[in-house]
Amino acid sequence: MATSRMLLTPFSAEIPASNFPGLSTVNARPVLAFDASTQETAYWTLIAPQGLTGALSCVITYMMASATSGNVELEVAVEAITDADATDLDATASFGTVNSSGAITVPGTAGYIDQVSVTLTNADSVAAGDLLRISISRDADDGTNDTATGDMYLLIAELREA
Amino acid sequence: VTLTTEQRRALREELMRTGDCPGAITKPQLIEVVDALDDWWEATGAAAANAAIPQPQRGILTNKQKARLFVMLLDARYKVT
Repeated sequence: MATSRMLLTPFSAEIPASNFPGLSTVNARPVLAFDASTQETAYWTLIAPQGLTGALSCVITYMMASATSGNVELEVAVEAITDADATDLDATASFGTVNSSGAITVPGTAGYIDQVSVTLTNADSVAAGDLLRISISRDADDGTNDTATGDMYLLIAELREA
Repeated sequence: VTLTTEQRRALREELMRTGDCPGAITKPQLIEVVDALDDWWEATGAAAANAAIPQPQRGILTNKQKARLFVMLLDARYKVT
């Protein structure tokens, strides 16, 4: 049985200096609005929970602002830094290889949610207690796998342990 | 001349950031619409709109003045701005 490990909310997101999703609300629900043209990214910083041993997946709950056809592609990357690692946080990001959802068909009604599970095959060898950073992007400039128009609203994401 | 590929793509991106973003078609389908409309304007639309303006006004107004009037007329009809 899968175990819910961490929740990533719009208000807890960290925003880069450029190409970031807008923080907004839809019907009083906080969302991160990912653009349909520019690939935008948000980050979350966590401590990997104690007892973490299994494979991770990231389940992203989203809805579309207006699109009722086409697909989106989501990308999740993991950066895990262990105590005393030789990683200079001042100057370096050390995310592992991106994990992609592939093309996900959007709901046929705008405003309906969809939940996408992205298996974190590349989890940067995360272990309990690591300084953990998760990045989530919409691969909006992928002309094949991301064809839906308009914003994609991220409502929440969950890190699950298999 | 028609718009460049980048200009057409920018138009699509601008439309998708408005409240009139069409949800029932995909991004590739939307750029086909932009392409078709720009091609039509180049081949037929601009000349037809110009010919609809009576003389001597047609010869007096600049292209930019005519274009602005055309945009204002469409906006008045469809409230797009």
